[in-house]
Amino acid sequence: MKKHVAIAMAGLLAVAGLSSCGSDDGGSLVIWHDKTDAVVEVLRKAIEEKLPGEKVEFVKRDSMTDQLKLVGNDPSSCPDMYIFAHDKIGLFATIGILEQLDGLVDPSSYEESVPLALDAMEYQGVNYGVPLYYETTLFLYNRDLVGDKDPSLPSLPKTSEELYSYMKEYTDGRRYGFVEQHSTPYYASAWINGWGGKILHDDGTPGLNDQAVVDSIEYHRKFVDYMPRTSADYATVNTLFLEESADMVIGGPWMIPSALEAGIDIGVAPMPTLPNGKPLSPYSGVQGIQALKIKCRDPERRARIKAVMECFVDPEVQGELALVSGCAPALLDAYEVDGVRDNAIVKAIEEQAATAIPMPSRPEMDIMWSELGYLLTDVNMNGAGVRETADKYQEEALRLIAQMQ
Amino acid sequence: MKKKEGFRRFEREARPWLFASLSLLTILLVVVFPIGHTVYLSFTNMGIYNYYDYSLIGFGNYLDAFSLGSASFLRSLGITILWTALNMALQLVIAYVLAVLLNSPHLRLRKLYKALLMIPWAMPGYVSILLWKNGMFNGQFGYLSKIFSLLGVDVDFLSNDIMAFLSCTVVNLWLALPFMIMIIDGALQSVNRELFESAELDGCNAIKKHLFVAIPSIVPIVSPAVLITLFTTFKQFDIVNLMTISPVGTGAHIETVIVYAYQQAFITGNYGYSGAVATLIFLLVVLSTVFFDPSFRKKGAKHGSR
Amino acid sequence: MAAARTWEGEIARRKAIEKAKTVSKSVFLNAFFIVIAFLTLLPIIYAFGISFGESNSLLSSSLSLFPERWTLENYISLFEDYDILTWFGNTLLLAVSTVVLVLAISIPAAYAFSRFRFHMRGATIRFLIILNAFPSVLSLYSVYTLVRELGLSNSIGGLLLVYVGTMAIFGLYNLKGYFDTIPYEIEEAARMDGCSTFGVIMKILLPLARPALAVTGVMVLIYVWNEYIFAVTFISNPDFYTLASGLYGLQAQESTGSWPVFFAASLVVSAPILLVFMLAQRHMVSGLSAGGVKE
Repeated sequence: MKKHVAIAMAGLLAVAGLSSCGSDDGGSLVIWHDKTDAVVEVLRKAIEEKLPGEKVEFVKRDSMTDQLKLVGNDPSSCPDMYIFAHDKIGLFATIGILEQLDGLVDPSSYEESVPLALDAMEYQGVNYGVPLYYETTLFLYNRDLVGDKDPSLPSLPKTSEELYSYMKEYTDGRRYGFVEQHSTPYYASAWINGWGGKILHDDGTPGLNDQAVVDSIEYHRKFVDYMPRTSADYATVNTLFLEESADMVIGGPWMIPSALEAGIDIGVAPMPTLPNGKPLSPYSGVQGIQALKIKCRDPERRARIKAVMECFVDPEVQGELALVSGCAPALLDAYEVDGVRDNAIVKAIEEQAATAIPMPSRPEMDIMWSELGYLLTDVNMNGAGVRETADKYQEEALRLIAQMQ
Repeated sequence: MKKKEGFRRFEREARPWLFASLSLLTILLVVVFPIGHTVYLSFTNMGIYNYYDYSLIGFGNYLDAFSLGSASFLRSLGITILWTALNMALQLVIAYVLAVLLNSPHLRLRKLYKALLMIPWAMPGYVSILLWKNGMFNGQFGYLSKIFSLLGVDVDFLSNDIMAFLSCTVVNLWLALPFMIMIIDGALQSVNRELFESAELDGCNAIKKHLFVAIPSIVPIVSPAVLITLFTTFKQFDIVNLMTISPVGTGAHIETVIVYAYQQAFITGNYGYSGAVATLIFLLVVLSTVFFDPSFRKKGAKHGSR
Repeated sequence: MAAARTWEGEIARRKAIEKAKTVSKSVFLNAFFIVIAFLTLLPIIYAFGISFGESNSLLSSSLSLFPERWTLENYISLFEDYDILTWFGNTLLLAVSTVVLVLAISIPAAYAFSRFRFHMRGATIRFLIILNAFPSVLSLYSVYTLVRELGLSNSIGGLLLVYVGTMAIFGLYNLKGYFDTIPYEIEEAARMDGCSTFGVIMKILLPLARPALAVTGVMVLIYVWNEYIFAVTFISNPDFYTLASGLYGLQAQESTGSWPVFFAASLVVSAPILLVFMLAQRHMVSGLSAGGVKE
């Protein structure tokens, strides 16, 4: 019996012991990201060239926000740095896991960046990250189906009303004139922002039932009638576009590589203008690199983290990042790098950024994303009345925000 | 002599605990401690504003559950009760009918059918759920959506609350029926055949035969399994979570109370409040276990051989 | 003579009717079960078809379950673009270790609760029943806290501990139920011959309890294979991904989301466990309904 117990105990300990090491070998710095291999390759190369001998491990994470919330204060699990869109900075700063940038990285190295990108890295007056590049959603179209490539094709809609007539005319069971993730807040916000609505005000109060928000959702709803009403997830929109079943889509630059690979002759156009004369204004996301506080305690490690972050503040690196990711670089000098200035996608995003609005990074935004999502699905998919539904979720958002504090 | 007697008594009492020690210690560590810790958190203000420096705040979170968050909390509780009742009823009826038919003497290939019907049980649950979500219900490529659209009907399987609830029920039945069929089938085979025959001689018709002979005689055999299924159904988290919320949300708003508590912790970051909801669920589970489980009623009932 | 003939004829006629009834019943039943089995397997068949089809076959509105042109490209992409073999190895390591450890700690415990009568025995069993009814996802954060405090976060060891602990109650309970059905007299005889308790368990009880051991093992194996929420939440290092967390990620990734590859992965993930299950199915009824579900 004792032998039995001993064997079991030894087994438990052995397996536990065996596998607990290896996750953190102390030596290399760990950077979490959710990027493509091409982006990582550029970053890796930059480190190899500028910091020879430095060991950095890039780890791709699927649900990084949830993970960081769990492990952000656990030195054995958390990364040294992470690269992610700026909109979670407020959350992580509030939780208290982020290291301030001032005192870590010399500001003169990155302050010559696009103002939008610099602003995004800041939360309540404190700087938390080095901006690398930024993205917005784009109005993409299939040049074989619409536009000026061939005179026989219908011309590209310039206003939302033209878009609506186009959808009415060309949408049938097999083909869609225009498709977007109409009930996903990140995408639908372009309509709300363009209309002048704000789902979260700067002071942290929700605005779901503001007149402008309600009006924009009401207006947007008629477009949904000509889109796949119930399945408007990324994979559906992407597949429809790749299969040439959608003439125009709103999608991120990350849609472009797969479309090119599928042989789509892809075009980028300005967002259509709304009846108020303003174009749809999508949210922009700034990809930056942030450092975790707990890993910056050790002065030696801190110095290494600083060096790695600074090595990405380089026009060449950021220019190349922009090209492989289909985004626009943060550093102003990066636009002078060969091939960046005249790159169509970089140019489109840069232009789009003039009307785009950086995603709010306040922690309340998490609640707003989900409440706006409910509001949109109730209205777009289930035919609920905009006003009363907006009131309902506004009230719920207020309650949840109160509960948060 | 007396001392030795005392030692032997001690040994008799201690030996079983020694035998069970590893198992009980693991359970204590992995199951009991987290529950205790969750209860502790429910009395704190842990949330994103007090993530690492939370403090005890008394019953505030419980008051919130019944006042501030009451609409969502009570709604999710209602959905859970409806979910459990509907699924249990459908499961028992369908499983009974299929098991009886499987036992028909006219069915030669019963082993083959039984094996095929068991397959959903063996599939990894999350895989099955995602297969249903993406393969059957997806509005564009889902097979069911294709069938319905050929019939000229556009059905929202997952975005509308009622349809999503029913779709989730279908998936749950798909996942859970094999176990129930197997249990009822096993029980039917152990029922005394003579009971059926004597009922036949008395001229009972088929339905009466089932109601008054077969069912009463299998109830004692299947009731432990039914009880387990009742709790599994109540506890079911994966179906609603994967079908309507993560990784890709579909817009339906049918959180059961378990999903609600999970979301409060991991989406909204209100760990204290989530802990309070979890504790309330735990109390509910304790009460219903004491109420439903026979081993809590037969006081001092002794089983086993010694 | 004539009377006898009609009597025989009557029997033949009745037999024929009886036979016709049997045949029609059998035809009806078989048809019914073929439909039921088809409906049951539909999601799997559909996934099978998609996984072997070209990516554009998804959108075709035809109801055909099989692709027009068969291709292996989705499976190739699965093995080339994703670390599915690593996921598979991790899952296998976890599953086997969990099964071994759960059996190792549950056998002596089940023996104690089955064979000894002692203070607090009944109370402990009832306490375990209540614990088992608690949905572990509700204490997820606290489980994580525990794993972190033990220094096992982000490791296979951490997941292993959680899986063993979660299945320990089931193991104990299922085995105890089966041990209860084995008469004590068999043990006594062995004891007379001078066998120790350890010897009795190893030589007498375990061979007799083989169906219960097999079913307990298979159920634990299925649990580990199927578990995704701990695997997704606790493991942040792709080297330690299990099949569940890998597949979950496959669906979640915006930039790479490809349904045909996802369907291919689903089938690859399910195949081994399906095989184990089929092999163990024979014992399922005796090992489960005789065991775990009975107090």
